[in-house]
Amino acid sequence: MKYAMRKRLALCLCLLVAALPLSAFAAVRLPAQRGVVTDDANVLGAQTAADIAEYAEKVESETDVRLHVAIVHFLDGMEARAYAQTLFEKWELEGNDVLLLGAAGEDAFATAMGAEATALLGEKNADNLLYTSSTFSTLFRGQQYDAAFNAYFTAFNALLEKQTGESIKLGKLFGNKQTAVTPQAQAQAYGSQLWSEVMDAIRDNSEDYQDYHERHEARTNGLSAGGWIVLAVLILIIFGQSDPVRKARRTRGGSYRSYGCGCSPLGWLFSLFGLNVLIDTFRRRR
Amino acid sequence: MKLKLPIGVCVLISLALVVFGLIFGTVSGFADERRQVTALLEGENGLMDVLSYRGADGLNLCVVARRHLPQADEDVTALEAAAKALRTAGGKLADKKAQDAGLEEAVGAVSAKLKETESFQRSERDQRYLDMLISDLQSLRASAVVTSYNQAASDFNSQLSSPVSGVLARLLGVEPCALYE
Repeated sequence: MKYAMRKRLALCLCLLVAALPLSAFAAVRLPAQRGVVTDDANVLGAQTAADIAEYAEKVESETDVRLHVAIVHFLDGMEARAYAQTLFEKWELEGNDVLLLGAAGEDAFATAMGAEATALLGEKNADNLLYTSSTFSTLFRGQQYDAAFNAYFTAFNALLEKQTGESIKLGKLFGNKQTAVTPQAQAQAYGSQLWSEVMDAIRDNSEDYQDYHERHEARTNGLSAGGWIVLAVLILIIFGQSDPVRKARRTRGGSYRSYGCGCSPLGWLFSLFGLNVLIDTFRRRR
Repeated sequence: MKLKLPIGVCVLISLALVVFGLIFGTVSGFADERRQVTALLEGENGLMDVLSYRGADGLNLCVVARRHLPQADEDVTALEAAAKALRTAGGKLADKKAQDAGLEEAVGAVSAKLKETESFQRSERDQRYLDMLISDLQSLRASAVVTSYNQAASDFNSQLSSPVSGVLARLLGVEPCALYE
């Protein structure tokens, strides 16, 4: 019995220690999902993005596998695989989902897959798609992003055909040889919709507090109209007694005797709370 | 037969109700105010998150810098350390302020060094990344959340120094909030 207790205590301590690093995890900026392709770094040409979306639709209808692509500028200090996994969870992706992440500013990339997709495609095969089965890694690090994703999905299609037996015709998809200048190359300055959204959220947070502060100031400036009405009703209840009630209080000798001024604990309560507000009001006016 | 209590007992019960009302009102009122301050500090997109994002930008700058400067470059190492310190949870606000100042200094040193590096001067891509990171760091530093937090903390501390409720709150163990300065 004692041994079982010690085992449970040791397990609890281990769980606590394991949980400690999680409390040191810092805020990371993750993009919101914007369709099949979420290109926050703006590195893909319109044709490539359209090809990926069309291919993803075909793959889902033939095999139930759902494809997602996310491209950001930076990973905020995280490893690519960890960032991909975190994004996978944030987007609430499931068993049949495959997420391909690229960080253009870091020349880093990774995939994250659900359990069913991993069982179908194989984790090692997914890694090979990035490094050996296609020229994705070389092209991505060379900032040839359209060509990189074209090469990746061409190889992905071959793998899918081998694993599922389903043949998906690519046709004209992924045939773009990166002759068009990508949006990022044309830009004078790099921007990030993700970082802009985070700044907007920070600004909204501050504005929400300012609104709360103004409402709170208005509330604490003395008694409100509703408060005065409640106070008046209470005073009327305490002091405004009917004749029969007063008559019933007469003593045997016939003389009227009042039983105190009507002050009740409620009166003390209001006076104490009100006193604090009054003192604060006078202090502010000075 | 109606229950009759001695008048002294009635007075004591009344007093007890008043005291309970005071304590309950004070505790709940200050708890609500404290929640507002805590939300601005530790809530989503609060002050701690803003500092964490600045640390993240510091680490992102390290990635860019390492493409042009030696791996063991002391300024880049100092920047990385400052950024990681800022992203570590916990610690006093005064320490965070000092860490943020350290980050700002390290960013300046790395930026200046990069601009003198030949490979960086040839890389239009990394020049744009440097501009993007510096701009984001400045926006985060200038964000209104710092002013809002300090205002919220100051208001809370003013209420805590008020007579009656403030004294009672301090007796009940309510502590003042630290300012970010």
